[in-house]
Amino acid sequence: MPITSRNYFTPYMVDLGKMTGLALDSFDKRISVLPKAIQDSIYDFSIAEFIEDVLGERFELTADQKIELTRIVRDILMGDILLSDALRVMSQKLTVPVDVAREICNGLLSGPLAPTIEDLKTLNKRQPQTSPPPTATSPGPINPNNIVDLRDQNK
Amino acid sequence: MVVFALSALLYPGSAAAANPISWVMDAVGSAALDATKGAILSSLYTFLQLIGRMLSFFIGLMHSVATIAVYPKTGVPVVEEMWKIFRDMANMIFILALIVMAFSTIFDLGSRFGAFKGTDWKSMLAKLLIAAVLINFSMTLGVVVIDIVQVPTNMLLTSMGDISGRLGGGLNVQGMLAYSGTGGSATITETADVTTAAIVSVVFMIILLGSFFMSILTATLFMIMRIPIIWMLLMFSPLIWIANIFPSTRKSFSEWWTKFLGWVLFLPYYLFFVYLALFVLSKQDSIWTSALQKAQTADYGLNTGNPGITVQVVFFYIIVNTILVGGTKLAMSSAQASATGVNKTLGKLTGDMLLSNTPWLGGYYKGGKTAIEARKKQFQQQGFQNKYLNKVYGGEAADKDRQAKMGQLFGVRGADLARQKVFTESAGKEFDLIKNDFDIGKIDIAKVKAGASGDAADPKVFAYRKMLAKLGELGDTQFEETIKAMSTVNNPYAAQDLIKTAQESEFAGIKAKTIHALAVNNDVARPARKELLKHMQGNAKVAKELTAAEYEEAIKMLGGDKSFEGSKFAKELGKFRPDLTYARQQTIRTADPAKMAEAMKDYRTKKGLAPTAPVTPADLEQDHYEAYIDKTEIKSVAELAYDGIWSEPSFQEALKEKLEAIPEPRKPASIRTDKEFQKTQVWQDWNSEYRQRARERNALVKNIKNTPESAQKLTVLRTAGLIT
Repeated sequence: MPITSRNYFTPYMVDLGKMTGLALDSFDKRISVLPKAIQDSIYDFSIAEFIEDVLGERFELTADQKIELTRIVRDILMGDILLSDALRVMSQKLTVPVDVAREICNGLLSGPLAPTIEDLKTLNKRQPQTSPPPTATSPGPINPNNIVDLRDQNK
Repeated sequence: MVVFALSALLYPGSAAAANPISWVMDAVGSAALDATKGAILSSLYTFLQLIGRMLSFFIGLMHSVATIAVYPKTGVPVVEEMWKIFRDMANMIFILALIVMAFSTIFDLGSRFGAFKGTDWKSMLAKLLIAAVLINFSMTLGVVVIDIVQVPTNMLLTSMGDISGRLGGGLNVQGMLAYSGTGGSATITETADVTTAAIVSVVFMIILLGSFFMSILTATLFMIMRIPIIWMLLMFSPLIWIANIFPSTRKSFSEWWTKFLGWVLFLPYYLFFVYLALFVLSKQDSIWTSALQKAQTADYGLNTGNPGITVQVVFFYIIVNTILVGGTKLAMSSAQASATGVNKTLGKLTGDMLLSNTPWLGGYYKGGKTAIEARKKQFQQQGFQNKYLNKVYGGEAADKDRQAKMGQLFGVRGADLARQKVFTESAGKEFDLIKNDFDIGKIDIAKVKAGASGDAADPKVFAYRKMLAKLGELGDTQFEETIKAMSTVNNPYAAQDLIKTAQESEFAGIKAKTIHALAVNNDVARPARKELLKHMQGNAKVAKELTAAEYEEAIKMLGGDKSFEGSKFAKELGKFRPDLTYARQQTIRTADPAKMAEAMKDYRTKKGLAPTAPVTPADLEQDHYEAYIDKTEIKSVAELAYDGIWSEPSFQEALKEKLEAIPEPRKPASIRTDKEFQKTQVWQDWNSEYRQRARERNALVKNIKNTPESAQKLTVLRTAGLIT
């Protein structure tokens, strides 16, 4: 495996190059309201190193798989993926067997994500419903009917 | 006849029953008197008689005087009336003293004019209050002292009884000679010159009685004199309490007490010695009896070398005489010494000591004293606080200010500095008071703000503004106005002081643009500008405002690149403004081609270029930024301004050069697998650098988020391919 396939993206950095303007502002605002431990993890370079150097090596993940795994971690930290769904999402998105996904998940939760678990549980309680993870590469279609025309409020 | 007279004199009353003729006949025997010697003896007896009479008279007089009350219970009208006159006068002076004290305090005459030199109105006040009361009781006080002293006097007089009778009886001259005739007759007979012996005896008696007489005379005169003197002292007693108020007249007060107590105490002291003399005289019979018995049982004649009766008699009377003469002298000196001691003790008991050591009241007294002292000091330093009255008296500060102004006018070296110091000191003291009042809640921020309105050249207004600066409440406008005002009145140190105080609150409420504008304004006082530049060198926001030309000017003002302040400024400011340090380097290089050539040479060496390879200013600039990124924390790089730095292609190139992902080294043909290659040093070094760059990119992005113009900066990173 070529070494240059390592990107060392932190959860914050992954997809950052694709976010501009309002999307970036919105992203930053969402991070700013998260608990401190979670915020720190989002910027934590050790997560990037863990994914690249530990998980990537151990499970022989491709560059895309590692980027996808970083995205999943970001979404878990932001509360977009519930901890209870993490295993399923990981298995689906990384296209790895559930056993491997479980090992990856356990490795992350007992490793760099350990300090955030309590905060994540609290965060998950506030957002019980599963919401689809946002992907910067494929933003959802904008419903034109969802635009509220303030000029029409007297109608 | 003479002897009879003398005998009568020395034996007033019953003592005169003795037979003087037989005494003379016994003394001289039946020998015929020589005519000349007889005449001498006769004259001497006449003289002795005279002394005896006078002695008798003065002893009687002394007894009478000793029993006179100096100040009888019924009073002495002349003394009382005179005392009233002086009392009224003292009360008038008391009012004058109050006025003098008031003016002395207001104008600090105590330290200015010789007449009031050493006047401490605080201690005067205590004495004044005491004096105000005691003036009206001065007579009573004096009489009380006299009455107290009269107690031991009366005791002594009672125990002595009839002084004249006892003293006259004790000084028994006949007995004296009789003893000498008995004990020493052998000696006289042997000389066969009885007349001569009688002359010798009489001369001795004259000397002895003369001494007694002088002693009694002196004592009696003193006893007589003391009465009018004590009266006179009592009359003037109200004035001496006034004298006690002022330092220059305070001596009179102690002198008065010394004299008064001295004269009052003289009598009991003297009477004590008279009592002692009488006591000794009363024991003479037993002494002579003992002496005669010993003369009969042992040889006490002159030929044996033992003292005869005559010698013992003479010695006895000398002792008595010494007691009386010495007693007079000792009474005078002891009375004066006691008076001085009592006076000193009384002096200590009055005023401060009395008030200070009184429970409860003492606390208030001490507290009041301290407060008065502090207020006095403040008044002396600041004068009237009213703006109009301050012109009349502005205290030491105003005096110093006027001196400094005049000094400046006449071009006195250092006068300007002195004036600035006066302002700063005065404002400093005001500031301390304001701060204290604010800290204890006596004044609130609204009051501080109210005090800060007005002319900044007024130390008080300046002090209020300084307080606002400390609290971070001094607005942008007021800060600028004050600094400019201080610069206009040529008081750079006050401006500097204000800036230092504002630094404590990190220039809260003051815009970076204002700080920058003042720091580069040539009209602002230099020390103030220096202080602002020092602040600028540690504050990116303010440093951002600085232009290359202003930077050049600042370096010059701080003493150049090589001065401590200049180099520190360049170094510290360079952390925020690498563009300015580069611009300055380029200015120097452009002015000096040798330096430019050297810089290019260094660049080529560093980059591994050929010695002739072209080097552009852009290359040097990029190299400058690369060096900056190398040695600076990534956080500081993120904080650099977008305009002028992040927007510069040379900076962007430097970022790319330093942070982009570097390609993996090519695997040599000799190594078959990647795993093997990963174990080589080449790969390890690359991996370390690769990882480090990734780490720094993440850190840069993270830090950019919290800086102004973060979006533009992220765009720079995106464009440079540093974030994907």
